Amino acid sequence: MEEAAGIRAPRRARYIRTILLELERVHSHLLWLGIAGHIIGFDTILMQVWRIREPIMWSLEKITGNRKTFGQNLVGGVRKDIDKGDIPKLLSVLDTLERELKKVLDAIGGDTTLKARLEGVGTLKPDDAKGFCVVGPTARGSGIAIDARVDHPYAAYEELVPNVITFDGCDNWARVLVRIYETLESVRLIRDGLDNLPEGPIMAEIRETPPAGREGMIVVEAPRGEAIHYIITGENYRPYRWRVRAPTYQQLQALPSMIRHATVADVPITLGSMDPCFSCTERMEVVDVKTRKVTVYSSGDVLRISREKYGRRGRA
Amino acid sequence: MTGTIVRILVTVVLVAGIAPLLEGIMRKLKAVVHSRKGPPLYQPYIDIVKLLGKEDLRTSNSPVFRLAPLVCFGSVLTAALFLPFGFGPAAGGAGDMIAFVYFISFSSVAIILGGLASANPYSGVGSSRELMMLFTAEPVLAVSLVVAGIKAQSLMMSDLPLSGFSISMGLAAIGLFLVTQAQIAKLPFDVVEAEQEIMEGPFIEYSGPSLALFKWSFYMKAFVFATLFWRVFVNWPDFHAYGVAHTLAVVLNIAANALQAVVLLVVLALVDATNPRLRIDQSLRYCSVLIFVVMCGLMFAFIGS
Repeated sequence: MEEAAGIRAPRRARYIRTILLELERVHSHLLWLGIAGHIIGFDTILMQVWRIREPIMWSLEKITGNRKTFGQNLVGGVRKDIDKGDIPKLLSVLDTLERELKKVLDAIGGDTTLKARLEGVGTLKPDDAKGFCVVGPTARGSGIAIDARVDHPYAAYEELVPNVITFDGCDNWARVLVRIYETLESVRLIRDGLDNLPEGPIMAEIRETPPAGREGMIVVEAPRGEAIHYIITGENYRPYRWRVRAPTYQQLQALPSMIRHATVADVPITLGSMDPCFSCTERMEVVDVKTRKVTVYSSGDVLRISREKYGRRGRA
Repeated sequence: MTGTIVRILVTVVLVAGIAPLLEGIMRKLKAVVHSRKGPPLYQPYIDIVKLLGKEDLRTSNSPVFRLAPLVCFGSVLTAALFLPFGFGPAAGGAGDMIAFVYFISFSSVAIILGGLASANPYSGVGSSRELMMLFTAEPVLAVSLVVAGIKAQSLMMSDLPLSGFSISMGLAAIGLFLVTQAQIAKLPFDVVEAEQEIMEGPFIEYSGPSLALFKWSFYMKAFVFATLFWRVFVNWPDFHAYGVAHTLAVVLNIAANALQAVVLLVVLALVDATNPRLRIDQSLRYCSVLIFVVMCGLMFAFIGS
């Protein structure tokens, strides 16, 4: 939206956005690590990692007012500033997190049973990874150094440059390592961001209505991989078209090749290793059993059908 | 005759009564490792009572499906009758270690048959896994008991344990100890249930009292195997030797046995809490190594060391 309207958020707002994005990555990766542990029956990881994660959620709530779905970004800046008094507390939360996560890393790094379950399972060769266009930690676990934060810097990533973490194990274990080290890297970025937080306003001044028919596109490195938002502006402050491509949709295409020749036991963790978001891939598919005809309904179609249905009953 | 009946009754009440408490202790310990508060120690009793009072949904008309939980529960209890829980085996001379192995294996067979009787595919996968585990874990149990039998020149449980150490008994003890984790289906060997993979496998279609019986027999199985390990390999403490009155000595022996079972189960619970689930092929490989260990023990037993 900002790109379409030619607005640039102030530097402080961009820093705050970066800090929040990285905090989100930290909590998302830890959440994933817990779930991955649970999938292979290692509930101790689940419980311990989520215990480590909880203070991050509290910090996010302190900064934005919400644990998730922060509603922090506005066109032209951010909604809430980071209070100076909160910074030391946030830094100490990060210190604790880093220390405890390293402990977890030590514990699982030497766990032979865990490696027996993860190493060499769910292999995705770099060529296949490129072929299937996988992104995010899934690609980086196959040794492909793509990261939207570096490739297409947004927010304050031009100044706070992350190191792209890659492992070339191509298996589930590599994807675990990528996420753990990325979390540590995010902690470093947040620290940098907080230390160098510039002074200034958090909202840009917007004088005129953005004209209709302008395009904007932004690539964001979400915890799962790059998410693309495309927008065409419309009349009366309303977008004419807004299209989101979440990473899971193309990642899932790689699954059949990853689980080829695998046993039932390896399927859940392999699927889990790409941190799938099924609600992001929601499409409705109707199969006519007699003719074997497949119809895919988009959300718009479903909306139209339900409107027609309730419209007939006079309830729309 | 009356003595035997009393002993059988005491064993049944003891095993069925204490087993959920032991499970409660294991859960509590797991919770501590997780940094959780954990459920109260009596939670397994509540689980059983609650399940017993629920509707028993029948998804299959097969009598096998209906009978499997009963057979499983009954066979574990019957197997317990051949073990000394602080007093001589309740069934007396009616059965030896071979009978014990058969009855305890029969509980697995009941799970397999019950699982296959429902048409659920997850149940089928779980049952085939249980079958594979049965084929590899059961020989370890049988051979380690045979080693003890050779050393004692008797297959009766009442002639065990032996005093003194021998290489063969050491290897058999290692084998039996390590296979117990697989026998009582704790992690990393809960491949049969594997709720995240095959959603409880053979038990997916069971509910209410049937499920309660299955769960209860698992709790009992843990207690039975813990007792088996101590009573085959360790003869301590026997309070009869300390000159206390007979009845008191029996009570003390029962308490000591339960306490030893707790010690063993605590170790198993720690292993359970610190391991991810293995794949079935990895579990089988583990068991085959154990078979090799106990076979070595058998060889040593034959040459008399």
